[in-house]
Amino acid sequence: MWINMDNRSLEKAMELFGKLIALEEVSMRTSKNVELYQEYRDHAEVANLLDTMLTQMNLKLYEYNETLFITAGNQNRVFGYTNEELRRLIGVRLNKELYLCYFIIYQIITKFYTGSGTYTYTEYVRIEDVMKAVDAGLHNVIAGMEQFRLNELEENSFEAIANLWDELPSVSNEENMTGKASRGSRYGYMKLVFNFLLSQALFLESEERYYITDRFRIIITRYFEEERGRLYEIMSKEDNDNASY
Amino acid sequence: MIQEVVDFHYERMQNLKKYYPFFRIKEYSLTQYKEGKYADIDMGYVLMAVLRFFIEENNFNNMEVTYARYAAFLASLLERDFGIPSLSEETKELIGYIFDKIHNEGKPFYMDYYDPATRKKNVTRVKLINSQLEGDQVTYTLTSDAIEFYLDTKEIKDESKINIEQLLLEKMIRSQDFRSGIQVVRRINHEVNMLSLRKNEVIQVLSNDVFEGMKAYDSFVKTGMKWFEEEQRLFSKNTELIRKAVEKAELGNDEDGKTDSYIQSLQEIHELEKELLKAIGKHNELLVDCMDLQKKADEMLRTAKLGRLRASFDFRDYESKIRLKQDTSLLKAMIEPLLLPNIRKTWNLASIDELTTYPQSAEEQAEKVEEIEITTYAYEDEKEDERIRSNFISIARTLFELLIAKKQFDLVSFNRKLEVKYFDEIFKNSDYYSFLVHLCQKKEYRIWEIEKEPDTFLEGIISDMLRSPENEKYRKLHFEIVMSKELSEEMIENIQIVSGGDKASFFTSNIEFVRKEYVD
Repeated sequence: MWINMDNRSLEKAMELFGKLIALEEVSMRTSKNVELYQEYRDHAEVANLLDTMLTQMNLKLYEYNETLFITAGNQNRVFGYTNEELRRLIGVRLNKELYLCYFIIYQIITKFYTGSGTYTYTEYVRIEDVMKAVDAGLHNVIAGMEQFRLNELEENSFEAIANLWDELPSVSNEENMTGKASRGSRYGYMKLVFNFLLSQALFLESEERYYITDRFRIIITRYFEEERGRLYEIMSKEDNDNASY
Repeated sequence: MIQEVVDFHYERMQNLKKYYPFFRIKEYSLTQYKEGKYADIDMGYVLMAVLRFFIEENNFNNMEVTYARYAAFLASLLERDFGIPSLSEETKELIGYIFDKIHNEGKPFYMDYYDPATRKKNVTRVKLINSQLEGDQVTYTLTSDAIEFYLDTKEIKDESKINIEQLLLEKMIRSQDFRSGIQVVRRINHEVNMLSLRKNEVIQVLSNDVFEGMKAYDSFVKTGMKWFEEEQRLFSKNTELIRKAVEKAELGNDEDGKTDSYIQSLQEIHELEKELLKAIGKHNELLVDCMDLQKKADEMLRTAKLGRLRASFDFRDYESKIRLKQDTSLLKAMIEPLLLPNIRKTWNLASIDELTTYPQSAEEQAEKVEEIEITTYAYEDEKEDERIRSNFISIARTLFELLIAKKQFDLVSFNRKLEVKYFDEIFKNSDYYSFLVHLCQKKEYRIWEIEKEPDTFLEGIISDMLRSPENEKYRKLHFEIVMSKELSEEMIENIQIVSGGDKASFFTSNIEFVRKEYVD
């Protein structure tokens, strides 16, 4: 296929690949790189070449609302994130703090989607809603923690993140409800996570209301549906090899 | 604070009075009747049942209740709930007695209370049942107080509360009690709000679980939406009544001029009208919302039905599995794919540290790789054989040395010799015992012959041993092994504990080594 291909197609596919990998938008709707989007849409060869390149890089491409999105998926050694990188991006210091952030993001996901095929018709979330959901999600864990030794808690256990959450004040003294992102309060954690999701193009904010983006929608509905088998495999594999890369 | 108590006491008593008959009837009605024979009948329950019966007939079926209809209803109730036969004369008498109590023989119930504003004892009155003469028969209807009392106790699930309130409102407009009418409309407003909340709840359930949500939706349709049309009809009926009331008020006061009471009642009517319009507006909004809900529910159901056919990833299920594994780091699997590809590569700080402090040699030195050839491989059993061989040679050499030095000696002496050489550890070595067993296989040994033709396993080892020049001297040894058949007393005395262990461990036996020949 590479031998007989049209040079122009390769050029366009490379150009598209370059834009996508540099995280530039390729979209008809927002009029960013429109010609390239049209190339992808109208020329099967360009689309095929781009798909091949991305597959070789272990990246997945989705098209939604006349926009192209790529994701590195799970455990991508080149384009994935190490725990250290994520901690730095979110602004936390310890792994258990990072895991608490994962839990908050999980709660946000389920506010909108309980499954890859079940949209809850929620239009937006507010920080307070997610705070309540995290409370509810950890309530039973906290209630069950009658006796424990702090230094014996595994950093990746639910008890560790529940304890971390439980020890935090809702808002720290110096901040009001429009407070800043920090590790000093539950609200601060929320802000850290919400800011992170904004930076990852997963959220749009308006008047303290957070709306999910098309990127969020398409990855939830398509990636998780397609990769569900592999995701369950990852979970069972972690039994043998618990190391994160 | 006390001012508030004084000011609002009258209002509170007026609100409270509708409950008064219930407790009066419940407390005293049947305890005195027929010497307490029917004291077990709960009059509270009977009263609530009768009120419900009246509401059903008056308001839902638009019929007035005659005594006969009441009696038939109560007779069946008493029979079903209290086992009282319905056909007996005594029961008929009882039914009449109960009716008198509820009806209070046509009189109102009087509740007296102290009014702190006027500093006087006041009496307020409340009736549950009104009677009218229709043609040649008396009919009964509930008063608005009775309906209010009943509604206050609990929402009627399978009926529209808005409708009942509207019927109440109608009654109030007809009796020109506009002030109470305003209260009723406010309650209707509240009820519309409640329905709106319920609608939101249904959406919530629908979004979590469509099939569970559909049940909630169906129940909402049955208890809420089904009455919308009827409610709308009653709204317009009441609006019309208010319009007529305004007309009537204006007509009635034309001749006398505008008196204070005229102005007040007109104000009340307008306020009532305003409240009612507000309620109608809200009700219309609810109607539109519910139409929307209907569409949404249909769409959700369709999507969910399609979704059932399509395998999907369940986030909650995945999380519950993670909980079982007690490993929050696995949550990363749900978050990672959402993130933008990581194109900014970072160095681990620790690596940078290592990089800067890493000692660099002047020139790179190559690592020498030596090829190691594996020539032999010793198996476990081969190692054992080698150990046995070496131990047998050591013990045999000790024996031969002793035979060269002494013509005759017994096992005890030999053991002592071994003990000196190898300490008592030798007696814990199994090779020592197997040596003796092998040795005793033959009575006589001519060492030079062994070398030529080894007969036993031990001889094989000895023959190998002799090949070494330092063992040359044993070649000329000839000796016998004598084993006493019996243990003589002398020998028993000689029996001693070796190895210093406990007596039962083992004894040396009666072996004598006798040298026959040795030519140096």
